[in-house]
Amino acid sequence: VAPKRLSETPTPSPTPIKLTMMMQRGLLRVAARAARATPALASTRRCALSTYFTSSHEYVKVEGDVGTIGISAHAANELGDIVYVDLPTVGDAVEKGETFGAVESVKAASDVYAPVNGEVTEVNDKLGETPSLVNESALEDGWFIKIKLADGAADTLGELMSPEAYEDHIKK
Amino acid sequence: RHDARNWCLVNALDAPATVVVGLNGKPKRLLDEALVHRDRVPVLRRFSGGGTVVVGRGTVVATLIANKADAPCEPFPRSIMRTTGAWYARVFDDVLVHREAANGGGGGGLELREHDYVVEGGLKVGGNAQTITRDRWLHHTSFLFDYDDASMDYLTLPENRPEYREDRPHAAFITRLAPRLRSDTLRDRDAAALLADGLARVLDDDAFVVEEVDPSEALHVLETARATPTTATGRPWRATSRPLLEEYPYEPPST
Repeated sequence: VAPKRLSETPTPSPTPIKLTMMMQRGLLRVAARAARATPALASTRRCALSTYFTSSHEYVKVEGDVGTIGISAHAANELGDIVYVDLPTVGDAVEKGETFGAVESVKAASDVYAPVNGEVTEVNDKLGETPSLVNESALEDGWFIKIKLADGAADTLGELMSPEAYEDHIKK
Repeated sequence: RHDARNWCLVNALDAPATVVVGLNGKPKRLLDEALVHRDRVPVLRRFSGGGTVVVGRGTVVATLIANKADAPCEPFPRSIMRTTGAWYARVFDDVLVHREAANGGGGGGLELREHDYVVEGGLKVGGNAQTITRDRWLHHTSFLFDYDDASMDYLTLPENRPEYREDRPHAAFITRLAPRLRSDTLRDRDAAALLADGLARVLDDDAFVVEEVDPSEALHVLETARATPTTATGRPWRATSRPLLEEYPYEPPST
């Protein structure tokens, strides 16, 4: 909804300041939505934590040059009960668009793909004992690996989907 | 991974009983190790998910490999199984003698129940497993046309099992397809040909263009895959990728 300009106000407003403030808040809300929709424009200095999704249902949460990677809650739900997660080891390189591991559910083994280039710095060891964390908390406790983003990797984040765009993607 | 075509592969096994565990199955939990070791039963690990099966003479394995863009389903297990379940129901609809379940429930022909292919409401005749990549999926099924009763003793009651199975041992949970086929269906062909002909008919009905090829063409793809350290896109193959089948080097159980 576009904010009204003062000149379009149908009656003289006894509270022009309030209207102006409303306009400003509206503009600020629009500006905030624009910033989230174009994460590539956010510098690593300004962007505290941003989450991006791939069309193959992985996510990467980026904070500085650290990325936390896992599969989306939608993917975890569609796969069913996760019984095993096959992960790389610390020091391995992951390459954008290439498989870095696999998730096994009751009846299927599914490849998982790296959303961005980087080097594995941490592996979620809890998944060895409790793979169900992926079903219970895909975007939090059920993360798979943490990586140090490779040089230039941040520039490729704009090719991924925002949370809103991913929601639209899975509704199709 | 090394071929972009859609495939339907049907194999009739002609080998002694062999145990095949899923990608991360734990033989120590899934098998009666004493019996397996006594009979020197081969134990293989496959690359797909799913449970443990005993295959051998009388087992017909059917593998469907489809491009996501060509298949009428989402590349997730339940969606894939709904599609393949409907296909197999149609394949067997014409060849099975339909019987009602002993408890009066279910019945009819072959159907998907939870993750298994069953007849008469709850007797398993086919186990399946899948591997899913970004752009393709594989669904393979071991159909039990016949089997040796004693070989099922190699398997213990799994912790992860479908609800409909309850606590039934294998002998009460699975059944043979062959006695349930109409007497005229195997007159001129064997079980593998029966399954292949049925799949070709159903897939053709579903707008696939079905082309019969010599098995050597599929073997050639497998040999190329084994010899090629890269994926079809030329990327290096992940070092932790599992082989298609590997023999499980189990130790004799401690006494």
